[in-house]
Amino acid sequence: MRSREARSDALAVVRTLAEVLFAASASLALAFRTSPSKLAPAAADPLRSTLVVVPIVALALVWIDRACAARGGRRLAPALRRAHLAAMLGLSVLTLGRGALGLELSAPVVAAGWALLLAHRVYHQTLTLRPLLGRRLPERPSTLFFFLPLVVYLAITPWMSAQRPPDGDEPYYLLLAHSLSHDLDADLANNYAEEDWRTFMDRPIAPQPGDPTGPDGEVYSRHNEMLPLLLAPGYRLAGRSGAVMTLAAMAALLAWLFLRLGRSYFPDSPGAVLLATSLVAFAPPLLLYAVEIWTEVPGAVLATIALDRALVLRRREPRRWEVLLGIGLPVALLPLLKLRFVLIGLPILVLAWWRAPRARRQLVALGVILALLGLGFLVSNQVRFGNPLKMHSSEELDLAHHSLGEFARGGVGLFFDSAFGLFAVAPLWLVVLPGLAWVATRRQTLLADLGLLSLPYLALLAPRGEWYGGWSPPFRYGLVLLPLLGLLAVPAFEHRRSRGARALLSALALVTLVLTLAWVAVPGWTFAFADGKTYLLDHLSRITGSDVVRIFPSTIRPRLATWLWPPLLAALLIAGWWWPRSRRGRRSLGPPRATGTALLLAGAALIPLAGARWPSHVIEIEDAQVGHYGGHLHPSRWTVDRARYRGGWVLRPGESATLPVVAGGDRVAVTIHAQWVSNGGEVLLELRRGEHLLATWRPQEERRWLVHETEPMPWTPGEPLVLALRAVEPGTKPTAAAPSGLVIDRVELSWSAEVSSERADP
Amino acid sequence: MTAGSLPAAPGGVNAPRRRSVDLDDDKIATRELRLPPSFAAKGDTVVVRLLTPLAAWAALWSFAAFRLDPSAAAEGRFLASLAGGVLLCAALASRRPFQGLAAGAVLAVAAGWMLPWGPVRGSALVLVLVGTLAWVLAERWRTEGLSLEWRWALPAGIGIQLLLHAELLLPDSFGPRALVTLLVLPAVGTAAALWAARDRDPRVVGAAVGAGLVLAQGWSLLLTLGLLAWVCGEGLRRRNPWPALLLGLLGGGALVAGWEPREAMLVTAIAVVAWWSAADSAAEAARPRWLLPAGASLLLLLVLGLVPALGARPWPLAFAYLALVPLVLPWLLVAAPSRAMLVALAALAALRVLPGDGVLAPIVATASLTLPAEGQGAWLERRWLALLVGLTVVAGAYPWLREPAATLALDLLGIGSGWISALGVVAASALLVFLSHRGWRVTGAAAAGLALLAAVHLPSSGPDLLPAADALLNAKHPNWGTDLEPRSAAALVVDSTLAFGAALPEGTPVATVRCFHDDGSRSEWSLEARRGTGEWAARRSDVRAAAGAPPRAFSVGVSPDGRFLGQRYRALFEIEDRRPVRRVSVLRRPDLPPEVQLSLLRVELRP
Repeated sequence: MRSREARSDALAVVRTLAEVLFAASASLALAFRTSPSKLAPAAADPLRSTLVVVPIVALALVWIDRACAARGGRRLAPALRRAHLAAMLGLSVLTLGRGALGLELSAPVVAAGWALLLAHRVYHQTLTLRPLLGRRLPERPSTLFFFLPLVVYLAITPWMSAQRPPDGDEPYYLLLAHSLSHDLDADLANNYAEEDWRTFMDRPIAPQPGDPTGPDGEVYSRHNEMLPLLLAPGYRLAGRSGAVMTLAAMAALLAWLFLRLGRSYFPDSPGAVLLATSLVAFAPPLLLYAVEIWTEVPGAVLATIALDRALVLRRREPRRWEVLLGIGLPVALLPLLKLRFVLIGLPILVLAWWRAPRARRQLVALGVILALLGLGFLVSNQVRFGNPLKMHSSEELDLAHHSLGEFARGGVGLFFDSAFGLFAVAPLWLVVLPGLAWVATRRQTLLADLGLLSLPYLALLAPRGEWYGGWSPPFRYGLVLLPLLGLLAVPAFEHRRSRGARALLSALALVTLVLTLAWVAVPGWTFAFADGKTYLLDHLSRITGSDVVRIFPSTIRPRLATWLWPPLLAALLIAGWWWPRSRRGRRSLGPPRATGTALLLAGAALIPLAGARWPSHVIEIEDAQVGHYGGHLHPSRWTVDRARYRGGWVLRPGESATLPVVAGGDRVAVTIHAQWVSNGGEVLLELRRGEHLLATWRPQEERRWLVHETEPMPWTPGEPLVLALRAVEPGTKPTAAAPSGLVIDRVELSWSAEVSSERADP
Repeated sequence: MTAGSLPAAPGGVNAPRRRSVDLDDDKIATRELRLPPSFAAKGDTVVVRLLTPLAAWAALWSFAAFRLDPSAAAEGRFLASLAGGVLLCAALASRRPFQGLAAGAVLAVAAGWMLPWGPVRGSALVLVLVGTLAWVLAERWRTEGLSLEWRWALPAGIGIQLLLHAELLLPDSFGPRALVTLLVLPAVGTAAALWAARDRDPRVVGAAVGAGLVLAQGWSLLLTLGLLAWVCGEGLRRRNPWPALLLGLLGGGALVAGWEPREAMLVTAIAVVAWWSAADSAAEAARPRWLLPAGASLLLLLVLGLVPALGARPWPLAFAYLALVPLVLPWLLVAAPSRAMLVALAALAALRVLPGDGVLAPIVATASLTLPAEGQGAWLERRWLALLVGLTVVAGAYPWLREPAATLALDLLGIGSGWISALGVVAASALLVFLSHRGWRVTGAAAAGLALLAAVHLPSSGPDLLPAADALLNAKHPNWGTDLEPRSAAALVVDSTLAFGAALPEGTPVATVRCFHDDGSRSEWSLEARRGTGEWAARRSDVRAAAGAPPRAFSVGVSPDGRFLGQRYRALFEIEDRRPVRRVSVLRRPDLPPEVQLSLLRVELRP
């Protein structure tokens, strides 16, 4: 018997070795097959690194499947495993043979195919992991709930990293990690001089505005050293890839921690908590940030650890080391990652004090220790940088100088903005709305906890001009709150069996799937410019020639849709979720999933129609559907904090713009918001309906935003509005190098019906 | 007991599979995480089933209708019709409109909306449609077992036909013949398959019909006739006149309409021989003794008569096809050698003399029907077929991209037309058959290794040497060239089309292609009409009427007016010894008629 077991063990070892050997040789063969030395350098396959990791990822997924079964879960069905293997082979052939197929442009499409296959595998694998949670969530969930997200993040990392060099603050974190790991100091002067940034990107970088300097020419980063310290070991081992893998591991840890956190509020709903964990782990925004270098993921990890330990104090007798290490250490580290995280850490301490009376003595002691540490931190900053808050000022904490409108814009934008909002990047997150309604109506402790934990942070964040994060994937500043939002999704998933909920879930899940595939295939699409548009909406506007952007909300460029969508969606989601189950005798609306999908697609069909039929009221001249014949964007695309400016388009004499107009009546009054920039010589703006001159405007005041309104003029449907600028005296020479120009911000159209019998002139 | 007479015993191949199993002791079902089946019997009406496909069609059509670019709009409308039709068939064929159908519809719309128009968009969308249809059929198989039934086989057949004959939806191609192709052939073919499945293992029939469909790019007349002829044998045994009647009607109609008459006769003869050779001992007694000599004589006469007229394929290539067609070694192991050889020889003769890849379909299908369901070779047979089907589906995902799917499968496997390649495939087959006796793990590992080797040897592509815009060569500007950093290259690829060149006879040189090498030497080739290049509007009805059948295209795209598919051609010139290239030029021949224009769409040096 024993010999049989030994033989079985030996066979298992041999099998494992054979699998590792096969995966490694397959990776090597694919690496050799796609090596740039074999191809022309310019033709290096962008999917090369993805292909190389495919055998390793496949092997890891197979092991997870086996480990799941060994721990009491379920194995994937053999047919499914075979289907995945066949799909993997098919995609490999498509990846390698797409050149021979004549599909040279299809790398992102193939990447989306790989992502779809991965999503399918992960969906089914998550189902098989469910038995590991039992009927009541365990205190310590299986590590497979950590490894599965980790494998997913590592699988998408090669493609997403290759598609986009480090951007925003990422290169500065990496350079600091480079300095810490190679020079063992935080002085970046030598690293800038020696161009160490070349190890992870091609674009040169220089010190950022606000970077502190030392007396001997030292250059420090304005960013804290905590994140680079965390990245340094991985960076030392594998450069940028090592740093990204470190953060991928942090993101996977966050998913696992969230599952554990779920026990504190919903211990008897393991299925719903697992679904919420999947939402947190496998949907954007965490999926996007898992392969990026930002402080938000480690911040969320620390906050979740501290919150989880704080909530544990409610259930059992406090232990001193647990209070110190489980709560104190993460709370102390949070502001070292980012100063604003102090507004997450302090509420956790307050929550622990509030919810765990037995631990108040330890918590007070901890608070004193943390206060002393904080004081030391401020003094250190004062000594080193001459400012206790480093690059920040105490005025930033003064909420009184913000208007209510600013709070509303940031607050709504964080969730609903089509470029930066959580619900836009992954609409499945909308399930938090019915979840919030459920929690609110039952006055659960969760609601109070969420308010306490998130409101201080949101109050600081929402009114900021740069609430959207700036040059990062969406919902950056909100990411640290993601576990809390995930908790709100749990009650929604718990009550997902009504017809309305099923229809809504189906539609939201499908659109999230499509968007996630798009974000993974083209990561650059998540880096929107703060101009009220997105890449996808711009694409639609450009190819249909209609203003599709206006249908969707933006708080950077507020419009009617900005304030219509939130209440509409909230009402639809909350009412739809509690749709009554079908009763005998009532007319069925048909199977809900089909209805949800059909409604989703029908809604999509209405978008181009609405863009082409909905009367134009405001036209932003820099938008994609406007035909530009000369001129340029204002301010330039890479202006720092660009959202503070009124975006527009500069026309110079001889240049014009053609604005597609959907007529809303027979007569129109045109209002133009523009600024005249004079460099010698006056200009005249002509307003034409197609070729027909309607009106002219000669701006009189320079360098000031002007509003010019015309009289109502007859309009013919189907004609574009043409704005053409010309010099009043063509011979006048400009006094500066650049000619005079008109910065046009927007054009407003007021429609009215024909009041007399006169018809529009031809 | 033969495979054909297997009862529908519990656990047998015909038995429905269980939907789920108990997971563990505490009965926690993963089903808890799934949403309940949305299509319970209540509410699952035809109208509800039509909702998702119609909404997907509306979304794609709406997007196409408002596009500014007329070419993109025309392609968008075409893809909307195609997606709507295929999704409709998938909805009707599915057991219940489940998650896969919804996901397929949404992904198809996303592909139609997000991707740039042209081959990439078409390929992605058609891949999604192929995947959706396959998912629907796999779901039915998973839940109910593989039992061929009218109610899903017919919509599935029409869906496949729509996918593979999408061109028929365009105005220039639409007509009575298109309707016959889209509706009658799938219906008759499905009937033949259902008849064949009455006495045979559904897996064998499914694999045979699937391989035939992929190779014939849908239900072709030849495939349908071949299957019907095969079924006629069964009908004779059962005294069922319907297959014969249908065969007579279809064959007679085809003869009257002048629709591939000689090929139809040859295929019919091969099918009869194949039926006679079937591994079905129960039917053996019922076979008329005169049938084999009659069929063989007819076959011989036809081959002899057709050789001078056709003689389309060189012997090595015919052998390579024969290896691709899963006939050679796996089949020989499991069938009686004399019968196997007879079918193989008949197939080889057909491959030698008949042009076009469509002829492969009935041969594969009818030959596959002769296989038993069980046995060492059957396991390998089905997987070999699955590999073939998979490769050709991937290759033919943009069905109008490349017509000869089988040729493309050969290309993808790196199999040329030489003897060495043919022998290599035969050797690989032999290895797998040998290993199949060692168990499926060893065979699977060997197959994976071979697949990896094949993948590593797939041809690479190089960068496009053309500037962003295509180059147009006409009488005034006949030359295009570019200087390069010297680089080694195995081949030069030129994608091009001709305008006003439909009347040029086959083989007319239209341009001289030159590679200037680093050592001062140069390679020179001729680009010839209807071979490496050709008229882009060759499929337009007036051009087709004047110039005859269009030449084989590398890829096609919807014309700007949305009436027909314009063609694009590819020529591949091999460079000896991979000499480094420093300049590439293309010179339009001065002796061409002045109105003829050559558009260069892609010039690529393959490493």
